[in-house]
Amino acid sequence: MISVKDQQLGPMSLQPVQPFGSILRKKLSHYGMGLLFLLPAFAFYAIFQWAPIIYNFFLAFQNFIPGLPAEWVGLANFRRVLGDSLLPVAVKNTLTFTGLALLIGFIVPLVTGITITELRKGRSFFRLAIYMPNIIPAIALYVMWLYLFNPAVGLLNQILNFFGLPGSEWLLSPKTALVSLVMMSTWANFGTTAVLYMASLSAISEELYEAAEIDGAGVWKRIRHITLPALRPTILILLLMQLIFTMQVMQEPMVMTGGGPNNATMTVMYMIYNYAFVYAEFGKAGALGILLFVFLLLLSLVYVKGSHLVEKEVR
Amino acid sequence: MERGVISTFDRKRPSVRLSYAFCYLVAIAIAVSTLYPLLWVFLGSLKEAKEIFYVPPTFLPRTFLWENYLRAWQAYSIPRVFQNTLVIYFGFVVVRLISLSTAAYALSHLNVPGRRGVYLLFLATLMLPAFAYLIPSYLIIFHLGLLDSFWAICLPAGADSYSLLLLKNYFDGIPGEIFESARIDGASEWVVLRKIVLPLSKPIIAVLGIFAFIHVWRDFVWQRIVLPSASKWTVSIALWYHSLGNQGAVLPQNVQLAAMLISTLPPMLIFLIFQRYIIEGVSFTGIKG
Repeated sequence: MISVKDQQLGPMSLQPVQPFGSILRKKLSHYGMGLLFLLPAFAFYAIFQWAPIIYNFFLAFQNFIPGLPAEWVGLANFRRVLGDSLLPVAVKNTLTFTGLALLIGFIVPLVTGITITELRKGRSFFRLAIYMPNIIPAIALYVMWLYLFNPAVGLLNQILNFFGLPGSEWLLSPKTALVSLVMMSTWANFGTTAVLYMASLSAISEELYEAAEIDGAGVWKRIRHITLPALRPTILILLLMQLIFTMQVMQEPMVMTGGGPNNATMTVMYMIYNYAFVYAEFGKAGALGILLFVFLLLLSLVYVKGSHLVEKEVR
Repeated sequence: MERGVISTFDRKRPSVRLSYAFCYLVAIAIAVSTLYPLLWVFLGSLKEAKEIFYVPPTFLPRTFLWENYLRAWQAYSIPRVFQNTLVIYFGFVVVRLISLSTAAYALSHLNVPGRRGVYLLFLATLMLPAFAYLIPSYLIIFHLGLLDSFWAICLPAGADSYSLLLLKNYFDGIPGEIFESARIDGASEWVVLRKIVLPLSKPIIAVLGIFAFIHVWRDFVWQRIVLPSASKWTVSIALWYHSLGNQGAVLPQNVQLAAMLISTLPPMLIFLIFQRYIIEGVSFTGIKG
């Protein structure tokens, strides 16, 4: 948006011969207030958003323990991190988690969103119900799910038994632990995504559906040729956000399984956390942090380029 | 909205009617899957400690032990951790509002050199993997000497691109003429922002306030690493410590569940009261994206 003052700048700057000092003063009085108002946010961003990113690049090449002077060690941290036998396991787990979470976290909210938008009555109740898990504090969620997952008395095995199916070990078995975390995480987060889909769905013009109907297109055809294409931008951006979010998974395994059983839920981000806060090897944490950061950055760039998202994002 | 994919005319056809009924079935199934676990946990929280481990589990508690809530209230030091979390929330919102409303106002209605570039610079962090620089963020707090202080949570709140986006978009919708006359009367920009723009922006400030509350109440890892002393603990940390973290001394399951529900109550109430704002707030960014 261009304010009134911006438009005045044109003719003013055309005036001939002005001493340099007065141009500077003019510029300052023109921009001064705007810059002054940007200052607080600029300071907060510089200290808490931009500085950490830059600091990470230094940290990765140092041996650092809080309270002691930092020591430069070149690429040693990277060598030690890449040589860590846990890393391949953590990478595999992280990718599996992301893959599953994206697959389930894509289908469930999309189906939920489309279904609930179709309802003529009770829509707001259902919207409330699906958003509810997003309100529960993370730790409360874990306390609750540890109880639901309990193989002997938990709700999940009870439901399975009710349908005549054998119960599962859930978090206690290396085979099912990671999938269990994906399940929980989907339950906790699908509401936001579904509500976002619902918002885009309600923006689709009714006339499109009417025209298609007159042309004789059935319900499925309308979904395939009108609904899904109209949702495309939303789907693309949400998938990217989910991708970035799930690749950094850490809190769930950290609190619920401690990375176990047998490292089945150890993730890259959890390794970073452990380097720093369990082993006090902040340099290694920095090195692995950089690798994850750069990887995700490249991945997003490729994604944005490949999906032609970029003009859509910011006006 | 009058119609979705399915029209009123469609619904008269039996085959479509069936799939419309199926939609309801799916919606009900989903609602049950989100609400039933909460009921189950609530019933569990009223059981005796040993009744929870009966095989097969009981549905209704044999005796309703409301005293579990009293035990949880004391064991988790609920009054203190609620107070800490609320104090943090207050600072969090004030810092965020001062920092971002001034910035959004400047980007919206004041002259800023390279406006678009500056705005993009701020928004860039929206797409960055924030967790990946958790460790350097922690070390910055350490170097600033803010460890074990509420400021470690409140000050970083001043930099949040999602809130900036919401505020700037809202301010963009306020026509400049509204404050032009105030400016002519000699009001400073600060007064214009405080006396005209912010009062006009109550809905968006409410959205920010509600989201900040839910965030502060549910966040864990950051609070855990910057607030080591027990006297400063928030709801999340206390809940974690007494239920999951401190392996030796975890409390009985029924008390854990009671504490879990007590801690869920404030955000739940906020959500039920302000649900319209929340859904709108979520939806708003969706349409932007």
